[in-house]
Amino acid sequence: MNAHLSIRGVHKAFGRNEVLRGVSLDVPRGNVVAFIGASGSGKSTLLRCINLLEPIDDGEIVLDGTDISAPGFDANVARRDVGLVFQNYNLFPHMNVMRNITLALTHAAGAEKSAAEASAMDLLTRFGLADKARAYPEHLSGGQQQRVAIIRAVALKPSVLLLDEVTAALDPQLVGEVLDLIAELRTSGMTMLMATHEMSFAHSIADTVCFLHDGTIHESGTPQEVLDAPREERTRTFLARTNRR
Amino acid sequence: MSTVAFVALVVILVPRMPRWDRVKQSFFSGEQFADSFPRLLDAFVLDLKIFAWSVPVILGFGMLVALARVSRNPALFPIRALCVIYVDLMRGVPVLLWIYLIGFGVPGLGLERPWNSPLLWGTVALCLTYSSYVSEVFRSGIEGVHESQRAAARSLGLTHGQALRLVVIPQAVRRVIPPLMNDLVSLQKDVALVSLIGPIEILRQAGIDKSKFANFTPYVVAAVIFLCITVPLTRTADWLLARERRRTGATRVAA
Repeated sequence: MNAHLSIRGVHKAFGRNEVLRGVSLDVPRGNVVAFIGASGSGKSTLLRCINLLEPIDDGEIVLDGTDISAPGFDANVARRDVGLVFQNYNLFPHMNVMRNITLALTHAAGAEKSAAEASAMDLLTRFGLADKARAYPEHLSGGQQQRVAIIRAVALKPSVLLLDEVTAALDPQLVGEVLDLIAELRTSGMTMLMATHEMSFAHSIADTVCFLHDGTIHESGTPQEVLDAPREERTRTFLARTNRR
Repeated sequence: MSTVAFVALVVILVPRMPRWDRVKQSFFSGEQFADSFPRLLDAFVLDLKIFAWSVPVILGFGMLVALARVSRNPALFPIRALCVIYVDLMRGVPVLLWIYLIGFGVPGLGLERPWNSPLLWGTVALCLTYSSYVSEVFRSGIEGVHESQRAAARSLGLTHGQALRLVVIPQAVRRVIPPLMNDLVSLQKDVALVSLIGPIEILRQAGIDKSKFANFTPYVVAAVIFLCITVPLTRTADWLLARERRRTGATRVAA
């Protein structure tokens, strides 16, 4: 049992709507998992459950051998270790880029302000955004905002990063810069789980691709297996529809 | 153009009214104006004091009530219910009536000095009513901050309280500053209502002067003094509102 992150039999329902019906998955350290599937197949819900934003109804989420979904486990501590990036960036509009990044460092992780700003500046420099440190989100392009949002999550040094359709709200010409950042994070060994519609990107970056259907992982395997030679009929139908667009 | 015509009409026509001379004498007497002005300005200091004491209380208490009303903790249900009743009661009755009820009612309980002062309880009544208005303004502001902001804050490991204090409330307050200013302008005027239960502030002093000199000019003086404060406040509120509109990118529809 050496998986970095284990998702075991996770169930989640909103009222009568069962979104997740028993999702199980082991993710080794440093692996990248891409979740694909139609809208409403539960990709986002699964990521929000792993970050504990949504309490799960049944199952376990085990990170480094600890069940972080257990009642009584401090969700705020777990969340610092499991970063989540949203489709619509969700930067704090009343704070500049620097403060967006340092807020959780100083208030949740207990870092000194100067140390937090230094590490934020390092990240901004590394990802080519140093000149935007004092800018407010409204003055940034969508691609820049999403890169800041990823840096904001990464700044907390999470051991797992969850990316929820992070390029879906971007203009096509801005998608590249965000994907480049994710590719760079992969080389640094970050364990990542992402929900995505970018099949070619999933193909090039993921170690495992999971096709979600009806609240379960319908098919999973290497990108070559799932994307190039799907075994399941449903996966084939889904990919055929996606590729036609 | 139409404004100029209207003003011209008033300036030409009003002095031709049959009793204009008498009105001019009893409302716009220069002598009386000069005589009453310093006394009324002095009395106005009390209005400003009541205003200055009330504003922080109203903002603080209004925010507390708003936070209680938007809380989702099931354990806080009784407090939420209490807040709803409080806001409904306060908003459903004219300010003046609350000032009478609380301002005469509580001192009537036979409290010791200084706890029996109508000035104190009139101010309390003012604070209670305005806190309920302001709590509704804050509540709409808090509810206007998109849920995803809270989710983003929580996803980074901030606690519920930190998410509120650092992310939700600052955005909510920024949004509601213009309507808040409007409430403060109303408050500035309604402070004068406290005069009706005793304290000698500007409106009451004007009444005393009026009776003493059998002349209405003191009321005009009081109006002028009020305008000196409320007009700049209103203009500031409008300016803030326009700035907020520009900032949020809302376009203005031509009339």
